Amino acid sequence: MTNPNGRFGIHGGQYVPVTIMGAIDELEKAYEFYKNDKAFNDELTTLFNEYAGRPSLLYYAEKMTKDLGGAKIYLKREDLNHTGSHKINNVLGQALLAKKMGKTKLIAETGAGQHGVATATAAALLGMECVVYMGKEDTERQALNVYRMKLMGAEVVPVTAGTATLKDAVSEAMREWSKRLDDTHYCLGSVMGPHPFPTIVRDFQAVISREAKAQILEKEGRLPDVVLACVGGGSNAIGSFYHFIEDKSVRLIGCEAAGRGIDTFETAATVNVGSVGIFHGMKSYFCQDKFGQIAPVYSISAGLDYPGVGPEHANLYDMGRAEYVPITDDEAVDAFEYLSKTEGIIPAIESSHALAHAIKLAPQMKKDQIMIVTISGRGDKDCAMVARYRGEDLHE
Amino acid sequence: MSNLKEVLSGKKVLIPFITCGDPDLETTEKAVLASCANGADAIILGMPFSDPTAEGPVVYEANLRALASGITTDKIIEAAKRYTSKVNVPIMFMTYANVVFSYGIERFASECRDAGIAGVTLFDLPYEEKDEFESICSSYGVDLISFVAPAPDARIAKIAKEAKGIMFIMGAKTDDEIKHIVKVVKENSSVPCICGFDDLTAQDAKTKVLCSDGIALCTDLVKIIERFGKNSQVHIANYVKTINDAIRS
Repeated sequence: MTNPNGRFGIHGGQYVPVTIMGAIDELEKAYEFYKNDKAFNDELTTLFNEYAGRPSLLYYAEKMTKDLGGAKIYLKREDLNHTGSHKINNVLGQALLAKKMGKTKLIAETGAGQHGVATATAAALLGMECVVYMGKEDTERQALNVYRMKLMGAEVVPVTAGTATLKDAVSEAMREWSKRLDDTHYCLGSVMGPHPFPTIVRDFQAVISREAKAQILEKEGRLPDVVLACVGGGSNAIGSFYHFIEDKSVRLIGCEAAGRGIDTFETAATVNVGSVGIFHGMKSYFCQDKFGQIAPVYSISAGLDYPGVGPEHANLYDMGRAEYVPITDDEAVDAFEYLSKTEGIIPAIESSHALAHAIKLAPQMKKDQIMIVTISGRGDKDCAMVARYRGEDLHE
Repeated sequence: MSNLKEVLSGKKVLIPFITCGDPDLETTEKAVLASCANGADAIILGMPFSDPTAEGPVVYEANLRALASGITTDKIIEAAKRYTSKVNVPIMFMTYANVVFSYGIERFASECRDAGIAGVTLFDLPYEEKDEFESICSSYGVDLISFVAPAPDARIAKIAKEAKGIMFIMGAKTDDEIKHIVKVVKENSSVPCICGFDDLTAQDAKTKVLCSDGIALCTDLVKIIERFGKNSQVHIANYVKTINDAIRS
């Protein structure tokens, strides 16, 4: 799907300061070699299976299916991975690649903290130094994850610039990377940024749909009718979609964070409200004003609170191959509680955006139709926040 | 046609950077006039961007102050028209790709021409992505100015061969690195090569100016404006004069 220079249709590219072009070239060359290297892939598969707990389950949510009365619902359980989310897939791949490239240090940005925790985990496992940049507001929203990262030996740097959220953490990590390219790999957490990151991250996350496709064929003997996943930068979604893109009968639906609604300014539903722009190394859709100033975005979910979307998603949208729907905070919190009560699975507030749309869509589908919803992460980290959203005075 | 290359060739040049609209456009105008009256050979006006990923906290804060005051691309271009009519040195814009892209590249280039702007530099537009912007800028007589950083000689040469107007060096850590880049650029291009510095003293300026064709003051004026706000003019005049005297002594 990637054209030369990392284009996905008109999107993607390498819009970065000249100071980091060298590092990006080095990364691209290394990845082009290792992606076809058997020893590298064997090592990564061992890490996936023996350390991260892959393959993740494709779970038939029978109670949810019966309750909603429509499509048969399967949950792709990325929440069961080590560290509790899909982020570990990409991080193990990039950390192993960095190690092969002779790098000794990983730096990363994080929003909800899931990617930061995963990076700290991989760094501990592979004996690398780790520094994680996290918006100050997010360090407060996700204090437990900050502790987890520190526990595993990572340094967490609170970013106070700008809106002090995910976009500012990305900017800070990029700035820091340009200062120490020699020994450091920037372990970008989503399918965004300059080429080759959107391709590298997608390839490592594609394990989700590779497994899901084999699992659904084994269980049902046919492809699903719909695949649903939440979209911030879009890494779990592209991972969930990738091996179904060529199967035109499968509807692909990305669920964006609408925050308080796409008719308000407090939203992060980039594809729904954004326009084409150039930021963080890529051309894609961004929430911005008419002068190209990046808009402050809002979502209850720190992991989806980002003003852009990965370039491959932007292209899937342009081509009409995938749909992108907005889900509000209220709908996501309802879905968070629904899955907890119905199936005894507490989903991440990010994943709850995908579940919210599944709850709307399943009853409109026939009983012999099949839906796969990716549960990108576990929701333990979100319990106190959801309790407060419901008016309880609960703090971690 | 832009005359950047001609005007800035054959001498050591001094080019201050000023964030446009920090804290307001009147202060920017006074800073431009004070710089030009004290030896600046050209001016770089920074167009504020909400997320200046290539720059440090000093310029970031300046950008936020300018944006908070209600500055927009339209207002900056309008002000630039006034500045270019009052000074006889070239004025350039320095900003990020999205500011130009979202405005419309053609509309931006045309407005720059009408305002007498000689060149535009975009921090996040490397050689690999410049085509979309360059041909349009050229057709309006505005130079799309390139950055070059330490890299293999072949890459520096490739960038130099297509350089327009002048060339800015960024990310070089030592004088030898700067000199080497300048050497490779000179083998492949006739554009003046300018290196940017922060916190430059008169003494530093004397030695740094020997490395290339001139000096850009990246954050020094921004810091003066951060400290003295609307009363910066006399401090800027003194500082630019000090550096100017140093590089020409």
